Amino acid sequence: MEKLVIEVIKPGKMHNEFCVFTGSTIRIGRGFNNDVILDDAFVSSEHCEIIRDDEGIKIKDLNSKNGIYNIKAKQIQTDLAIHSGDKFIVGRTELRVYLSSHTVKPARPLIPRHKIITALRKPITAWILFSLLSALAYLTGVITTIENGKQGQIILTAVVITGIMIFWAGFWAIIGWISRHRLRFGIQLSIACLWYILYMLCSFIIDYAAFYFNRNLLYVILMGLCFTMITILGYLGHLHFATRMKTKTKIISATVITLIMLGLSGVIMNFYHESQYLQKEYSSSVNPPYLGNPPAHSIEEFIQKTNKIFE
Amino acid sequence: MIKSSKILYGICIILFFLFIRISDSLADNLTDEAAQLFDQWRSAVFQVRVIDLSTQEKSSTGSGFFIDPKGYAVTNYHVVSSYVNKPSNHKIEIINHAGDIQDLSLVYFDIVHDLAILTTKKASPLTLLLNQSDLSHGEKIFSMGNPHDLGMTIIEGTFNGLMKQSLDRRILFSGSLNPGMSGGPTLNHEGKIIGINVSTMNNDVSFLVPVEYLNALVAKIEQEPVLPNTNWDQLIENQLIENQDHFINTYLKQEWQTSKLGDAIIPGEISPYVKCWGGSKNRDEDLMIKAMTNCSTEDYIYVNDYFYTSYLDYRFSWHESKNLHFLRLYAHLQDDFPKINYLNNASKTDVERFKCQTDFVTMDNRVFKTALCSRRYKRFKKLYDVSLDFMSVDEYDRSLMGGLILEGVTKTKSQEFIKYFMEKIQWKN
Repeated sequence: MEKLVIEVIKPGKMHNEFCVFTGSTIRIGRGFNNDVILDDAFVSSEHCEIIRDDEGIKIKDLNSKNGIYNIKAKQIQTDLAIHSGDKFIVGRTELRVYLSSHTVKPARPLIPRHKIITALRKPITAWILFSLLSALAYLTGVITTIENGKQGQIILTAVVITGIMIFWAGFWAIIGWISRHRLRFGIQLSIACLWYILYMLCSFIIDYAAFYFNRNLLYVILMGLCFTMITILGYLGHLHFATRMKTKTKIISATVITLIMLGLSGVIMNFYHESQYLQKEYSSSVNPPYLGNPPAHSIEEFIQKTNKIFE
Repeated sequence: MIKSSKILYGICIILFFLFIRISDSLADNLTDEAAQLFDQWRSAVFQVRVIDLSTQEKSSTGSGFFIDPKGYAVTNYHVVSSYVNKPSNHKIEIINHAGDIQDLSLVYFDIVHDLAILTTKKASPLTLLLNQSDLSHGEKIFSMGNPHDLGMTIIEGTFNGLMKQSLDRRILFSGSLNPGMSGGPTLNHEGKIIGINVSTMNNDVSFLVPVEYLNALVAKIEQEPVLPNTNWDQLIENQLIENQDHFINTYLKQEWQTSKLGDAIIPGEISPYVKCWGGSKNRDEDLMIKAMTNCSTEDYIYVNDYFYTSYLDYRFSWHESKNLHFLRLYAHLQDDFPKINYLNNASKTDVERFKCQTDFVTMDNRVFKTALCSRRYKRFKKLYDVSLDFMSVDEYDRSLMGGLILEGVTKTKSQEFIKYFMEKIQWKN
């Protein structure tokens, strides 16, 4: 007789349980004298029997309390005929029956890990990126003070920035521990640091470009693009190491989170714009002449161009 | 110690008695002349009230006086401004010396000199006569009005000439005007008007509108009577435009004083009506030298309680690094740049949003990041508040920052002034 396989589907667990049988009758229940023993309080001690004969596979209820739920028919039944691959529910446990002749999908090819992911997994990367972040945070502190003897303020700024990054990495490590039972704090910290460093680099270059060419719209568009891309990549990285989501789900989640953040910042900007009704709003970005002087106009040309603000 | 304090105590007592004697004799003189004037003219002076029609309560009070048996009366524009700003919601009434209430209508006003002419059908038999304000320094003058709604009073003070730093001449009156006396007359000892009470800085520093402006206004309405249902907003706009034409032309005609700030030569006191102040910061712990100048006119035109206009302000600051890395210097400059200028506290109901134009502009072969912003007045569409901010960005260790504010100007006049102003910024060679 052809082998029969019963799959006990366990939601939340990554692997289901498969039991293989050769006999014609398989008894399912909570009691220990069954062939398939289910640890489910809603299953009777002797719940049902799977019977195979020439006509096919049948399930027969053994006078159980809650019956058998036929997923296809969407109702509780006492006797039902099923085919290989069909699902049914006893108590709260979902079961699926296969014949050994049931075909399975071809195997997915094993993809070697990407170099970036391999590099991110090394502890040395986390140390290097964190040192870089700390240096950048210290620099931020230095740039925002212009007096001597303000070491305390500089260090406070640096500590706050690195602290936020550590907190953020810790958050993702906890997510990882919940869904995969692995913290992987080092990798999460690497991603958080990389995110900040890339963002600072990006904003420095775009700010200078927008200043040099005097194009505020260029700044808004490029910063929006840069922020969106770096944020999506960052979330993808965090999700990759913290969860077992499929690639597609990861990309969708990262994009959704980023778009929500963009939407929120849009709402905040709008409020800000309204509250600044009486204020002058223009790009006040100024930079030293790294690439020489930006192209400039004469006073007459400038006055000519200001005609449009009086319209 | 005890001895000296006893002596001091004795001196104090002597001084106290002496003071009483002197002030007694002063009071005698004051009461004689002032009491006479008060008795003679009190029936020509009245309290002005602007009544809010929806609540029937007064929204502002001031003083006024009759100048013509036909029924013309005078007060300040700012006393009746709530009526001018919303005529459908207010009415003007006066209470005379006998306590009779009577309604008045607005005929004309001069927003620049803060004067308003009212009219009534029931003319007063007694009217004050207009004179000239060419008195000599220290001459005794008498001001009448109703301070804080307390009743008609007369106060004595001295004439101290015309204010020189004000484009619209005002008389400096050493006497204490109080709120509510605005619009009341100030008389010489003959009982003729030399000025109209207008404002105070407290501590006996008060200001009067010279009577010449009232003479001009009366002559104007006698020549061309104002039609009823005049559009007051249009009148304000015309007067403000005429005024800004006048003061910008005055500035552009004069030779501008310049002053030095760091490596730059900048406009100083460009006219006697502009006052400049300066300061600098160079402490040992600072990594940067900062020097600032700030010049502005000292008067403005009142439109309503939240909206003043016709003001000029410009300021410069020089920043030079002492071993400060350029990244830090520029981060600081970027923070300071948009804060260089502050404008009047007009509200959404008075002004539109700012529109700005930023660019790099060459002034005396130096490159400046420049932003010109303007906002249109909602009720006076031809007028704008204009703000110019600029900062040199061609050196790593030093920068000149500047800002200019022009309030209540037309497009053409502001552009003319800004062009001239920018051309005046030079660099020391």
